[in-house]
Amino acid sequence: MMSDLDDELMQRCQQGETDAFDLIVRRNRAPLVNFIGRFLGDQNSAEDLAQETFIRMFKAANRYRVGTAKFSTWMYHIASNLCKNELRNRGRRSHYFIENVSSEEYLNQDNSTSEDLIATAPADAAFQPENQLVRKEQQQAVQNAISKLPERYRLPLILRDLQDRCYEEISNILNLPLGTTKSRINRARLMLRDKLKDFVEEPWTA
Amino acid sequence: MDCVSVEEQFSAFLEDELDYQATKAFEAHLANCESCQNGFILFRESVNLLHEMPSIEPSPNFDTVLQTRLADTQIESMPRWRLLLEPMRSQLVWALGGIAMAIGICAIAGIYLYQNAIVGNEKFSVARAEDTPNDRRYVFPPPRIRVDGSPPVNASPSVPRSERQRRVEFPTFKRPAFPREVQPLRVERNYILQTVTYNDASTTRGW
Repeated sequence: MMSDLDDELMQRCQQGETDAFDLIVRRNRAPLVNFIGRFLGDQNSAEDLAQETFIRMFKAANRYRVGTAKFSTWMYHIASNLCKNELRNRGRRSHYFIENVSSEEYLNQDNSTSEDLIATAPADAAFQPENQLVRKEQQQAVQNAISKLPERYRLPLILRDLQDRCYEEISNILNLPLGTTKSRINRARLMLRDKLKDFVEEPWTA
Repeated sequence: MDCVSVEEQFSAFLEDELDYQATKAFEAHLANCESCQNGFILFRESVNLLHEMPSIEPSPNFDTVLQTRLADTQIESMPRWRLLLEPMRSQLVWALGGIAMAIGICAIAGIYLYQNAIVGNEKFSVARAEDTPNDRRYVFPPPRIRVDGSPPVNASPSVPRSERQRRVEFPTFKRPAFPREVQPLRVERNYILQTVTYNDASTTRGW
């Protein structure tokens, strides 16, 4: 349903309605920033690349053909290519490390200290400051583990587990056969499991 | 079924994509292999952690920055000549509007003057020969014949048309006698044209 509306909005955009593109941006900015942010581990770059994605979509709006591919496939395809280019550029610059301080600061977006958490903590046990701190630590570990995955495993994993895309769409986005896509996602999850061993609560020990 | 092939089916089992036979074989292996059992539990918990990751929200100024960048992109994609005109586009519109308005006002005024002054009153603009008798005067431009057949106001009715035409084309009046002190050395023409303009009030008695 969502893609149908996006297709309709793209058609309106092709007819010159700039408001239609604004609506497309409002509908898709959050998932796009989340996708790029999880891939790069850096919010500033994520927003920059998300905006670049929208700009490229705006420029290529007249070439978009409704029905040939899903709108979200097209959007994630552009974003994926931009992410790959960004990683390559960082590799060339060779002074940028994904697991740097800014990436950790980015995970703690609200920058709340333990005192703040205690001051604003509700009575529910799930929101106790200690639990929140543990959860934040886990999330940071997950982000670091994602960032350490090779690019070809990272993209399908994020698309599947963080963006809830189906296997067929992921294979279209990445131009991969369906079987390869499934095996890469399974392989990425196994690699993530190995990296997160220390942070996963073992049910049999609880 | 060995441990490696079981590991390859972790995702498919987790997402319930295995058929009945494969599911039974998978469960049978897991029941007998503690290593694969622990590995699958860790696998499932890791995936759960992934699903619990919060979404990253765009910053409040995301749209503003995007609008600015889109506007810059549109300017960059313009042809060079339009790019040069872009900064003064508003001034250019005003200037062209002003010129169009001035042309319109001039056109309206011209039409008004033409209808009320030139066509309606043929005595409005005439040329007069200085120092010539009344019957040698000629009118410039030559008087027109009115539609109703009546003689023009500034034409002499006693002089035939052919004679008037001849006089207009070849004026033959005498050279005026200039005073000696102001007499020119060489007289190029023997008449002087003077343009006289009247308004409606001054033409009631002729000239």
